[in-house]
Amino acid sequence: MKFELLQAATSQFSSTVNEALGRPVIKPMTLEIPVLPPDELHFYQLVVWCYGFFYEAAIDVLKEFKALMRQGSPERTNRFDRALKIVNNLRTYKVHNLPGKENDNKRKLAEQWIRDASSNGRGIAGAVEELCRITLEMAGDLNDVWKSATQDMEDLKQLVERMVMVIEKTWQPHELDAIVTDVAIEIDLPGFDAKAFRDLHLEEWRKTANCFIDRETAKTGLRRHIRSLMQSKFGSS
Amino acid sequence: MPISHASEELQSLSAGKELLWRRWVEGAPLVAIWGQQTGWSQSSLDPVLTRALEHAGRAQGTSWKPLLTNEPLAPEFYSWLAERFRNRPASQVVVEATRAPWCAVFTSSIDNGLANCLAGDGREPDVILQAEPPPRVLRNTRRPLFYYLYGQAGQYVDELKPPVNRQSLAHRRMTQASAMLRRLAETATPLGLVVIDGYDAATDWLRAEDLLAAISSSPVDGVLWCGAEPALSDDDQFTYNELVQKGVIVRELRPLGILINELVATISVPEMSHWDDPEVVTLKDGQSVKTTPNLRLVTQASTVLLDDSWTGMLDDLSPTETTSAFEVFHATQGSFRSIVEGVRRNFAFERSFETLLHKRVDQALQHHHVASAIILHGQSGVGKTIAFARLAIHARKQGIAVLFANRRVPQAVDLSDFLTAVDQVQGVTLLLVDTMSPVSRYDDLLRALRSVGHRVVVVGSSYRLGYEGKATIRFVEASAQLEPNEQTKLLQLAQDFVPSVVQAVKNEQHNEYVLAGFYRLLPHSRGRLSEGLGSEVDSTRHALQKKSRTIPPPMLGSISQALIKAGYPVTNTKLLPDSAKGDYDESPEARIIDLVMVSSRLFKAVPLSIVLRAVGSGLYAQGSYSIDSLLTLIRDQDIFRWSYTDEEHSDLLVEARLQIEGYLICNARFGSAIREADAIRVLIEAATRAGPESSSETSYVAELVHAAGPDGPEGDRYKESYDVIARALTTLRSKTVPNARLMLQESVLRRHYLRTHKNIEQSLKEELLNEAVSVVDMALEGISKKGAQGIFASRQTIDNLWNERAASYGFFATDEAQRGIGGKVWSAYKAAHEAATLAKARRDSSFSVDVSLWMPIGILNVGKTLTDAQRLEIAADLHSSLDGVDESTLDDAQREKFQSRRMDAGEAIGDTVLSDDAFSQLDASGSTVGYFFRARRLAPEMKLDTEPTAEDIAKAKACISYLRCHYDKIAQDERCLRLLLDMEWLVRAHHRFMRGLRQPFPCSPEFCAMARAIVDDMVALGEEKLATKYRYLRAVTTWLGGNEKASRDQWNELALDTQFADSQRVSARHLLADNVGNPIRYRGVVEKLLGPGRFQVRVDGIGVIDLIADYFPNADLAVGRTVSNFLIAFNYRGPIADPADSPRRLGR
Repeated sequence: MKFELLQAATSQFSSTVNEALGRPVIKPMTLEIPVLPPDELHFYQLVVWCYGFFYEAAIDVLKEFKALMRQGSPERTNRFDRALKIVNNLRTYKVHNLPGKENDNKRKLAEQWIRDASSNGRGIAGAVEELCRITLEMAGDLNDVWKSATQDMEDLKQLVERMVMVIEKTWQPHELDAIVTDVAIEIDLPGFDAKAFRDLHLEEWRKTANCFIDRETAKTGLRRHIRSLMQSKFGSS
Repeated sequence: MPISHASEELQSLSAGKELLWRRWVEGAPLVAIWGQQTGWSQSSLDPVLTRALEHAGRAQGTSWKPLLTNEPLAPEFYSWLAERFRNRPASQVVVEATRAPWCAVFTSSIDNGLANCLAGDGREPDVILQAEPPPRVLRNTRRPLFYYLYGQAGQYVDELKPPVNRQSLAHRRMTQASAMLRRLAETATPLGLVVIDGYDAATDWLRAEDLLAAISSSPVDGVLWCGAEPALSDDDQFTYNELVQKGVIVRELRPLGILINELVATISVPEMSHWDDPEVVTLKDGQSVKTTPNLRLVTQASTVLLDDSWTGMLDDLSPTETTSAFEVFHATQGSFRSIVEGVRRNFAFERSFETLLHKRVDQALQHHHVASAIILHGQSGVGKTIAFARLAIHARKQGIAVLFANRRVPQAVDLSDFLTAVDQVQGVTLLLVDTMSPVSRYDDLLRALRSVGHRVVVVGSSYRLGYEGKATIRFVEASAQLEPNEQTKLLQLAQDFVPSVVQAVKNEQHNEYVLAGFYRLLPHSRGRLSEGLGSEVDSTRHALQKKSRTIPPPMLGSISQALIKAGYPVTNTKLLPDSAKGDYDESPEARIIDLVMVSSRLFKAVPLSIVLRAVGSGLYAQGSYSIDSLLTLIRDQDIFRWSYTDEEHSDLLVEARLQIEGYLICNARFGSAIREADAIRVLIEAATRAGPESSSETSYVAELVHAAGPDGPEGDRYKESYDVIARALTTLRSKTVPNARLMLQESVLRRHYLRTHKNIEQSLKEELLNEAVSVVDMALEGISKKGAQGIFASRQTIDNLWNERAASYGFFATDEAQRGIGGKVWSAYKAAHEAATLAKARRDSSFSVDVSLWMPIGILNVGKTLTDAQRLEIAADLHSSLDGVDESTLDDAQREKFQSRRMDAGEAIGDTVLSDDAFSQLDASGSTVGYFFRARRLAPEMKLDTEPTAEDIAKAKACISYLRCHYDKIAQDERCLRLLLDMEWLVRAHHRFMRGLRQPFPCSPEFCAMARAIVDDMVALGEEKLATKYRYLRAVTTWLGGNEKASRDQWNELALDTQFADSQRVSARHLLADNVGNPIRYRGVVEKLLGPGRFQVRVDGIGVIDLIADYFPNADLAVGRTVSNFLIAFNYRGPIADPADSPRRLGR
């Protein structure tokens, strides 16, 4: 199984969806392309690339695609979930070899997966091939789901409307971090951990954002709300 | 999440959210009722709804109500609708709602994708579209049952489609929806929680009165109703208000998905099971086994598999958490995983007997191919399960795979896939079976596993065995009394974790129940700790503990008195209800305690549904019971514990906190075995879901009846009621699907009743015997039928039925002989002998051998009306049966029994010297028994384990000469043919046929022809009567005759029939040898790979044989390579290469 096939399938998926939604919701992949031969380095790059696509570039639409997939066969949902988890485990293992019970389990699962995929004398090339195969299958599932859900024009319209609505209403944590950081500078709070503060209020702020009709008005409203909250807690200089 | 955070969060929970959280953490059954608005709302309508109404040409609306009018929908409408549902993403609110561990969902929605939303992490919904037949299980968290009350869009068959107009809606409601909803209460059980969501009473197809009726029998806190206040009619409003006021319905305005999202995000709830995560079991030498979901599913249906996560990192606990976890460990005796974790945290001290246990197990692991099952025995509550946990950790550290079973002795076939996976990487599996079963059950299991060559050691637990002075090394006793150093350890344990109880422990340290009752000495052992046995100790459990409520104790005074009277360490009287409150009464609630205790006394946890049915149907108690009192008993008293049958939460079980408490309470409460047996009868008759083989109620009844029988922990205690119990099984059969295992027990218990009651009335005796015989015949007939009329039975059950048939016929014949009714005795004997022969041919078990001995002995002893010729025939059969027994295959107890039978047989047979006159008369009448006795008299003694002497061989030759001389006569007599074969073998191979392993098999054509000719004559007397060893001989001679295909067929059949049945199935019985008995060395070419580590090798001029790579570690094995210097051995699977210099005992 070749990485090129995976790249082509994800590109096709990205361009189809971006075109249908009229905006670049799936970000272009700028990560390093795995280079041959299929050795340890290649495998490492492949893990990073796959994680980058499924967990970062396509994350905005993936939740909705999974919801769409859930209307279909349980076997496909489970297969997709399983592959997604493997990518996550491998990334945790290869990139963040962190301590802790949960990571320990992920590490063991990833190690076992690599051992199996490399068995029968296939070595790391076997793991490369297997990872390409399961992620290509994921990309295939995504393409298939989209294709069958958009054959009927009314279905397509309905799907696009929902996705656009969801994307526009979803506030990514880093977008909120930027507002918090700005406000912290404004009210002179040196050393303030924007991420920690955002974690405490994420769901609440997302709900607040839903009170506004569009993203721009929501941003203004959120900024005012966050500033008021921070000032009441920490005062202003 | 730390405790402090969890506690803070708890303070801020709404009542509904807290209820859901509590039940979720407890592991109680969660059942959802999803209305047609689930996931959607008036402000966020399902886009498919609007399009559907438009497509159907109905009026615009915001619900599915307008879809159905008097005009039917177009035929293709629901196919079109299914497409729309499939192409619309699931509501995120529904996706969130699926994150809870639902065990069943009932929905009025027709969205074909709704059930599929439960998929993920290996979970797969089990869609139910028709009320009948009922599903085999009512609950399952891996495959949640998903009831479409009104059908599902996208179905092709009309009955499964949603209704097309109002009329068909009413019909569907009556025939399907109502019947499905009637299962709601039993599905949720009183312990569970029903959660209603997305239900709009004004518009939903599910009528409010039907929904309210379905939940009306729920206990307080039994229903969580999410969403806006329902708009109800006056009558429905009244019912609804009453349920809310009583606290049965707890209201929550927010949708379920939001609640679950918040619970998962903010408060610790147990993580959902990752059903499709592989589990890794690391073994010795860097090997490992990865279990697939399917493998795990099969294996974990009856055992727990200890993968690497069991011995991974432990979470750090603060001192407060540690104390709490210590108390939870001792108070709940939860899952085996939590016990293992507690042992790893040193919450239990190591008992002295554990050193011996570890030593025995280590030795057995070294010699797993020959080790007997190791038995840890002792009274309940002395630390056997904890010893198993420590042993499991010990074994895992050594790279041994470990399986643990505690509900029932597992079937060998269920474990075989996992054991094979371990075998293939040269690992060994330690199988811990903590079921307090008789030793024979563990021996049977080990024999079955060994029949397929598994590398396994079995350790079983048993009640205290009386092996005074005769204990073999495989028995390890867990004594109740603590040794001085153990008392010191116990005090130290208390000092380390709960110093406040040190004095109380000191007072009780000499008490034989001190370990069993240790938890009752702990300050917090009462209350909610006995809940939620399915999940691990975690911070939420500690938080839960703090939230225990005060519930008035029921009237249980006599229970505490019983325990105190028995010397049980109940120092704090508050731990059990105040005896002054009233004596143990006859109320339904008290009866529930009786039922649970009697089952627990026999070490059996009882499915809660059976107990409720028994009391609810009036089988055992008058008047209705309060479901809330019952819940108080289960949840808030330390006398009960509850658990699930398996990881998928298919059935809920209740039992006494400890068997010893059940035992003491039964003694105090019932006062007689007959009254206890009556409670057992009630439990059996209430098990109306028993019947299908996979039903947990079937397993429960089978195990309970076995435990109440003579082989159970109480021996013959219930012998006065064996007939009652047997007839309860018959009553049960009339109400449910016939089950072969239960039918077998119907007969077994009747027979045991007759065995233990010699002087009962003849009419009753005949009645019971007839019932016993006919139920077995009925079962065998049912098994032989195909399709829906047929009865499923495992091979072992079928074998047991044949054995039981032989035994029942034997009883019948003995009874006839005793009564001395002339011709009837002889015909009854012939029928019984035939039955015994058929049973022995199927499986040469100790049971079938025993029947073939005691039956003729009994008849000879009491059959006064038999003619001399008949007596001789019976004596000849008895002789022949005795000669056929290979004592080396019997264990100690079986050998002892056999020797006793042999002595009885000697006395019964008496003098069999035949006069010429008598011989002539027999011969003239067509009987060959005279030839048998004369030949037998010429033959040498069949001595055990000794090589034949020259004198023996000379005698054998004389015997052969005699039989050959009269071959035309004796060719029709199976006894003579067996004798002839034995003698021929003795003379030509200088060994006894089929005695011992790796015996020489002379490969001369003449020898083969001789053996083949005798076996062919045996076959002519009845293929079905041909015993396994002769079928084996036929396969070997066929193969040596060059007919590879025919021999392969014969071996395949033999291998299948002896799988999980004959422990020596894969042992090398014979080695090809020259005429003087020396094994011949061969060479061959590897032709192909048959499986992992198994090759096919062609030996020139002989044929193809199997070769197992493990036996030839130094050979360079690959297709096309030559292997040399091996012997050819035979087992019940076929010919196999055997290393010439380092013989293997077992193959695969």
